[in-house]
Amino acid sequence: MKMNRALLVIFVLVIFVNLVSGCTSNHQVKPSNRKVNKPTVGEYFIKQSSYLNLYESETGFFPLHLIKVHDGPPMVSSTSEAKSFTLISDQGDIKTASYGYNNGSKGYNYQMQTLSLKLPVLKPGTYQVMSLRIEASGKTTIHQIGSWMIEVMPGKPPADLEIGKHTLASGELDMYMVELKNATKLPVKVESLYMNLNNKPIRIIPKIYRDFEIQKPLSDDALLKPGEKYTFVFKYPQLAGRFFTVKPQLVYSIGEATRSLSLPEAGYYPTLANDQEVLDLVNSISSIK
Amino acid sequence: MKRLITMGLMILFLFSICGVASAHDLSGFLLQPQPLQVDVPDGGYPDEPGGTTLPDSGQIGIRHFYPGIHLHQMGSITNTYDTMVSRGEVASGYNGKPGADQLSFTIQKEVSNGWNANIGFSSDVVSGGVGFDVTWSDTKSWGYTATVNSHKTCHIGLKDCYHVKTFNCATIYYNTNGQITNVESGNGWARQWYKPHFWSWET
Repeated sequence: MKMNRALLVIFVLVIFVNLVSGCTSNHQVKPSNRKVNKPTVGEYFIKQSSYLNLYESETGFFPLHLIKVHDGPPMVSSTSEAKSFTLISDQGDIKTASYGYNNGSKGYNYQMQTLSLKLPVLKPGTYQVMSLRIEASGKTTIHQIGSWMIEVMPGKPPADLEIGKHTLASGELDMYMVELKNATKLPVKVESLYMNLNNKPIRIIPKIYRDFEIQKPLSDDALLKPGEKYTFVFKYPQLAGRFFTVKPQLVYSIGEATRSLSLPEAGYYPTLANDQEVLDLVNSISSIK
Repeated sequence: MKRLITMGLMILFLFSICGVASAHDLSGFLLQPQPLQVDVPDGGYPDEPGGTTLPDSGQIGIRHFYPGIHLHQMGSITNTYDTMVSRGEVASGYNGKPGADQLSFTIQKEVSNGWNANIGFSSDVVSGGVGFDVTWSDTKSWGYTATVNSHKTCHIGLKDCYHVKTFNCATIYYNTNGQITNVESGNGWARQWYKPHFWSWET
């Protein structure tokens, strides 16, 4: 009888301790990957608000983001076998010189991709691009890609400023950082960063820092003396949208002259926390197709 | 036979205790110092994996039973700020072609939230108090590209951006009569990853 009671006590203790362990353990909670309403199989191009400023002598690239949705094994898509990509602009068609795909994350029925189109040499001027035509195996598809402005300037970039480290990509439209070194014999004043997003001209005044760690700010009107290198931080205003590509124009003065320089391209697009967010994004595109 | 069963159950009991002891979550990442506050301008998008940051959640506690009956209790949020943590150079590529070309790369490592406290504490309680899962890791990201000029090497650097919250906390110990026997007061921090920041340069 005594033994039975001891057995019962030990049994209760084991159950109790196992229950307690459930409340004290360090759960590694993974994001939800539950199945959600599946969108139709196909390719979904993300609509961007973008601005590309380049010289006619410069090679330009046009990055597009898309999500390929497949059912079961990866689909044989029109883009993977595409023969030609043409940007449809208000100045006529722009047939791209070449292209390449870069895969991002993938899920059980989708693949996130970046399609990079190499632009041909363009004449100076302004081009508004809203859509992309893909021709493959005798089939033509047209995709809306948002609002893109390409501004081509004549000639070659001036050699007044050497470009060092600069922003390449960020998860949101936060800032453009660039290291600039004065390669002239005169002081340079960096005035602003210019771009046009959603047909809205935007001019941003910089904050100046001693280096790329941006912990030591300098006076807002600090001049870049010959041979000096500072970091310039341009904080964007709040704009509608989540996907942006910006190749901005820097405006600076040297002596009495005001000049401009096209800076390297930066992409601003969010990372997504889980399958649900990816498919929500696809659904938001398909609902406005 | 009964003795054998008793011994078996006792061994099981001891293993259970060991299991709880190892699972008991003393703190986040003991070797990680509190993140520094740096200037990270935000664009204003609430793109925050693992949950949305909540205003101060007040006192949140979970009662545990090992070692001894005790209660982990969140105090107040004492500070919020943003920080960037550099991973250094994550990719590079040389362009040997006559014209500009593109270097493709992706995020190679997982991103994650994190936390720490200077007393024995629980990640569940911290998650409840700061409003996001402090043990979250993973991400869905795009492929990235960088333009590389002719006969140049392009280098890519990566900084992870975090929202940081610091907090007060306490662990209160009780005896079997429910009376308080000891109170450990402390503080800690939790960081929430919210975006990558890539930069590049050429040599």
